[in-house]
Amino acid sequence: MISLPVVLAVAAVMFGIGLYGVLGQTNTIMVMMGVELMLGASMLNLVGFMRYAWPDAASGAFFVLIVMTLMALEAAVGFGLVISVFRNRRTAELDDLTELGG
Amino acid sequence: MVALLWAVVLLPLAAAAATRLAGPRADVVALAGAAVAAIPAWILLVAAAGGERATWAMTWLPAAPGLDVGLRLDALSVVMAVTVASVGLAVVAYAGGYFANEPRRPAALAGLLAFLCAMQGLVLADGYLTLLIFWEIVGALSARLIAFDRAEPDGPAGAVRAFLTTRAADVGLYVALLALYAGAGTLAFGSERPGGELGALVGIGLVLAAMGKSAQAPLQGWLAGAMAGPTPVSALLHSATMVAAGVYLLVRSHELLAGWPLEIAGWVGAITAVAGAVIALAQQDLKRVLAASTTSQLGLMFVGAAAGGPAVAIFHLVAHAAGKATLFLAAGMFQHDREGTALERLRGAGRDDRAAMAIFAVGALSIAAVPPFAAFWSKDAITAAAEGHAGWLALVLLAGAGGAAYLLRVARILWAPAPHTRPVVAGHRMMAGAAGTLAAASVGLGLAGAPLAALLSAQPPAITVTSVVLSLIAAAVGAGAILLGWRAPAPVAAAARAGLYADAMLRTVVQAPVALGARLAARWDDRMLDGAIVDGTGRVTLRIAHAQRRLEERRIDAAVDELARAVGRAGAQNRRLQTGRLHEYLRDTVLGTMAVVVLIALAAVL
Repeated sequence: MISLPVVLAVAAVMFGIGLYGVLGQTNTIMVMMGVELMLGASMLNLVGFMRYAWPDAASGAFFVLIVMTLMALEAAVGFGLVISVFRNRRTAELDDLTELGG
Repeated sequence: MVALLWAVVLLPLAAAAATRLAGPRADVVALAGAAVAAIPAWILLVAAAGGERATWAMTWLPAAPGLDVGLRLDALSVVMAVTVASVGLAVVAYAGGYFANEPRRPAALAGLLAFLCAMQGLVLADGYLTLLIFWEIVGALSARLIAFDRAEPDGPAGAVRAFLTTRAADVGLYVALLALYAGAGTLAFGSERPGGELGALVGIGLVLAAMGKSAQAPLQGWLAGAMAGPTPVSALLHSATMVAAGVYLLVRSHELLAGWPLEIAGWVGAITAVAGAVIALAQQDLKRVLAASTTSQLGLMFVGAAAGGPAVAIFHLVAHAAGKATLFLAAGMFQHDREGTALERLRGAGRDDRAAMAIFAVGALSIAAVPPFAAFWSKDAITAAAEGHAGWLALVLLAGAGGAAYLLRVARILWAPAPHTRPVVAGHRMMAGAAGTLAAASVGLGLAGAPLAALLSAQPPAITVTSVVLSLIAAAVGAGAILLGWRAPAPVAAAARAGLYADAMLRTVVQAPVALGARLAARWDDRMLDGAIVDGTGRVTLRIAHAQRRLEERRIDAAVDELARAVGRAGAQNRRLQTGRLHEYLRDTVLGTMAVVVLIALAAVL
């Protein structure tokens, strides 16, 4: 059985990579992948704590399922937007999309 | 006694209300009401003859002593009350027939009964304040009754004229009472006339008010105009009762007016007596002849009040009330027979309607002072009283000759041969009955002189041989002039037809200055008060308001603008945060989350 610190360390690394992707990448796709990584890290945390602290409770697993569904939806909407933007602009660079600036 | 006094005043009013609601049987209800209302007056007469006196008073203004309102029973008031109630009864009975074809008969009869209430209040009033109240009610009701016939074109004009003339003269009553209250401190009857200017105002004012109400020259014109009213109204108001109120006022104020005011009243009366007779000779309408005759006879009463005292004036007042009401009621019968009162239209009416002619003859003989009819005795008392005063005596005798002349002239026209035209008139029997009763009274009243004087505790009217002879000669001269076909010179006749130009004179002397003053006042009002002061104030106020508004607007606008600018500045500041670059948002989100975490951690640690 993998010990909790290992799980938490892996999750922390994943979150850090995701955070770097969100903040550091310029391509929208890459930013979204960073978001996915961060969500994955938090799911890993949920599962780890669930297994370690309340091995018999199912609520943690349900949370994970809900987050997964959200991730799928988010990815679908996000990719749809990106495709639509790309068709109009021929670009997927985040820093080119500043129309909503005040 | 007090309850009976109230009954005399209020029963006619109750009868008026009942009559107004009675519908088609209004004549019966009105007759019954007038009869019942006359009973307490007669009871009071009997009681007063037995020495009974009573007063009822109520403090009107506690802060102003001497301003009590009240009713009084004394010899003078009870004689007047009985006269009013009795003539009123006869006239109401007559009016039931007179108005037989009148759709508004209940209103007419109720109006007569309501007038009786006001008149009883006037004669039974204790103190000038109460008298003044009823004096005004009487005037107002009179105008209403004159204008009763809405189809009569002259009705409203006559009513307005009567009302305005009497009201104008009533100003004298107000002035007199104010002066009396200022001088004597009370408005009770029988107070002393104050000295100096106040006394002069009291004297002039009371005489003026009496002149207006009693249609004395030169204010007599309204009485002719009042003849546009229905004939029962003329009989009751404009011959027997209301116009007698002026004489009553003189008699009631006898002590107050002693001296020069009565002297003035006597001269006014003497001149009016002749002027009225001259005017009566020239009129072409029966009712206008009778109106002018009333003016003349009231003038005689003024002379009587001035020369002979209360008993003489009141004796003639009572005798004249019966005689003249009789004449008017007969005139109303002719009016129904011939549908009009123009003398030309009435030519020969007496031959068609013998009952009316007989009644008319009795009234005419009485008023023309033919013995033994009532007004002979009363007028002779006036002649006798005026014996010591050559000017008055001459005018009274002249008026007596005129009285015989104008009545004989009218009687000859009524009795002239003419084609027979006699329609069947509704209500004729009722009219004849009531008029006949009054005619009988005007015969019998000649005997009332001595008892009346005893009741009024005055000298019985002295009838001297001189006065009788002089009166009879005067009457014979007047009648002879008519029989011999004497004609007045054209200018005199024209002047008489025009009412001796009293109206033209009043227009020049009173109406023109008043109208001029009104125009000047109107111009002053328009230009100065309205133009300069009111409009000027308005303009200045508007200007101030505009300035104020601009100031306010500047201040408020400045505040509002400042707020908007501040909001704009804040918006510009905030706008910079919103770059549209998603990375910056994400960075801010991360930093913000970290800050929250740090805060929570700090809170947990601390």
